[in-house]
Amino acid sequence: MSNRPEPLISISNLCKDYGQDRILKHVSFQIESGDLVSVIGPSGCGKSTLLRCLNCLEVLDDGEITIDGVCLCTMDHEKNEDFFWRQAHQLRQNVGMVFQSFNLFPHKTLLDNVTLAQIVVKHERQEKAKALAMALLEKVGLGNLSGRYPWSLSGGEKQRAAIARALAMKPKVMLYDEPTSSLDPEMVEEVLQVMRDLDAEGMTQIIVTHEMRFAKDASDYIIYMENGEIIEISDEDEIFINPQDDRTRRFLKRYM
Amino acid sequence: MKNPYFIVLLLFGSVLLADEPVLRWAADAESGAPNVFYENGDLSKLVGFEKDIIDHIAKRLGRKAEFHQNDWDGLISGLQRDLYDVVINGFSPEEGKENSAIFSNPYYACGLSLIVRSNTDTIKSILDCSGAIVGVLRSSKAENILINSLKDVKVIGYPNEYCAISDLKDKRVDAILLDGQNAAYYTRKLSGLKIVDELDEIKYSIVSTPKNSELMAAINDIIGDMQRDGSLDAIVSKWGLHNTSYSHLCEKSRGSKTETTSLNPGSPGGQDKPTVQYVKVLPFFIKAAYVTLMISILSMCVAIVLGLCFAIMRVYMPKWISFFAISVIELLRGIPLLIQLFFVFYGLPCIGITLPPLVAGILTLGMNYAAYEAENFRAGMAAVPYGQMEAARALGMNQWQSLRHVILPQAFTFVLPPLTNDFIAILKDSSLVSLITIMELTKTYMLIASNSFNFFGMGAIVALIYFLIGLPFAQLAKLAEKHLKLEKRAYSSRKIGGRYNR
Repeated sequence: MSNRPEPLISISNLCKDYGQDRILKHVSFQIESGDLVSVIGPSGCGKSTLLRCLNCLEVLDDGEITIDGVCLCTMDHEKNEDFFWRQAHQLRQNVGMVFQSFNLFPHKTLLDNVTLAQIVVKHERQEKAKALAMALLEKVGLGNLSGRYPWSLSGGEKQRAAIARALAMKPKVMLYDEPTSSLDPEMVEEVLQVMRDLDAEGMTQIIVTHEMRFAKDASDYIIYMENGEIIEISDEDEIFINPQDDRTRRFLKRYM
Repeated sequence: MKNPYFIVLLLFGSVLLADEPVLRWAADAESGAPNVFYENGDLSKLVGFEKDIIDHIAKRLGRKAEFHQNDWDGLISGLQRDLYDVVINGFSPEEGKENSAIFSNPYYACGLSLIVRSNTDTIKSILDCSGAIVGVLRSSKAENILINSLKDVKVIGYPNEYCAISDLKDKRVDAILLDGQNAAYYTRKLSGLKIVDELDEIKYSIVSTPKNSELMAAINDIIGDMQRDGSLDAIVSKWGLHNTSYSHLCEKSRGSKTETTSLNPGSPGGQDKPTVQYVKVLPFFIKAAYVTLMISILSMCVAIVLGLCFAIMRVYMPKWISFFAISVIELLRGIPLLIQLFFVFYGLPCIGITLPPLVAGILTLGMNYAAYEAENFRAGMAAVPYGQMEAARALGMNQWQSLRHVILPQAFTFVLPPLTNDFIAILKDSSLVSLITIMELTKTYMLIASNSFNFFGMGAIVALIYFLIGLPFAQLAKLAEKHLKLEKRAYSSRKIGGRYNR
């Protein structure tokens, strides 16, 4: 992976504090365009926080994030808050986010959920936004449910709709924060399949997950985190077959 | 928008429409008999001896008399607010308002009468009142006299004669001290009361402000003329108001003596049967209900818009704006509505902001309720899960877009029930604007009831009207709630436990 020149995502020395506690400790890594990366680790290790920092839902306390040429660093936040948030807005244009609890807009139909941001943020015309929304809903297998409200859907359907909603903004990177953790087991696969399809199309994806089998099968590589630090970054086979670190070994033993 | 303007024009702006110059005069017709009152509660029939006098004066001035109703306590303030030109309502020059008002030559004089219940034997003169409870008109000369001349007498001030009279009948006070002609009118009209003592002499003058001194000079001339040519006498005779004090007044001005004691039964025209009365007053109630409804709806609109602004400022804006919003909310919530109303209507003109009564009323009610709505909206926004904001921001919406398209539509569904609640509250609180000269439902009720001596029946009608106005809004809100509900739970009406709950 290091022989390719420009990484799409580059994170260096990222730190995040909650009050006195340092949640992320000098996290650095790079991700190439088209990679599917799984972030695993025990609860509270900071993997969700890392993902939220990438989308500026949390403001980083130290370090630097660059996604597709847009750079965010703490210096800017302290010196020129306005500039920082303009950069953050720019950065978000390239990043789609999917949440554990779906966070679909309950007062809108699926179709409106997917068109809303296109119309509000990108000032897309109604018909154009609708066409794209329909295409994306078809793609995640919800074409026939476009007029339904979120409350009438199953968890798996909701999460697929949420993915369609994020894709509508044509992001270069998709972030998933435990996308299958609140789903019934039989619905997990339909969501994972959507992600596999996207990977096949060359989408760059970062997934925080507890689905070890999916991580093992689908990921290009895996990041193992513990206590706010990256312990190991390696190919999926290597980390599962031959973990380099004791802590990784202990964690995987509990899961596999 | 046409209708509110219509009302404004109707009540206060007819100046603009009339070709003839008008003489705007004010009095409190709430149980003002025989000075100025509505005959048997019929709001189309304003009568009274002072009305006759002012009509006469207006005719001689070549102007059209135009009546403005105002509360007794606000009559002089209204003059300064330039709501009308003169006040004629039994004001005596001695009542200590010389610096802000000017008084005409007296047009009438009378004594004070002490009234007791017919079966009272202990009070035979004013001197027997020591230790008794005596009712008077608020800030009247009678109040001054009682407080200054008698020790350990308990004086109760009433806003109008009728309240004092009914409290006397209901044994809440032992005696009342009223102006002679009022006492005469009420003891004639109502049974079970008697006059036991008469004392002192009060003169009645028309009141205006120093800037109307030319008008007042003309009015003084006319009063003089009326006294000489007997037209004033004719009016006084018509109402049966002759007395010794008045004769003395005439003597002074005319130099001749006319000692006539009239036994005229007073107000012309008898009382209708109650049922006929109810039918007759209904149109007035309906008109007043319309005013109340309009004030409530417009105030609520102001409250919702302002409240939403305050809530957004408080939750989403920088610290200093948020602090400003909190301060305003606390201030508006913490001060009685009535004080805010008087401040806006009578206070702001002192710094050059003069609002028409309707605007002042709607604005004050709206501002006051905006504080409550702001907190409602804040609660509503807090009830929307935080993930909604995150999802919107992650999609690239800015804060305002997220609020507008995601948070507020959901918050509104949470806010609807308390909003309906507040609308019904505002419907009732709108009765306070009657104190700034607006003829809404409560004021209409007070006028009709006190002039027809029927607080019970009219009270039932007005209560029913208030209830009926509020009802459709409660139903409307129910419908809207059903429609806007975010999650349709099929069994929401069932108790948890369902059929095993027995």
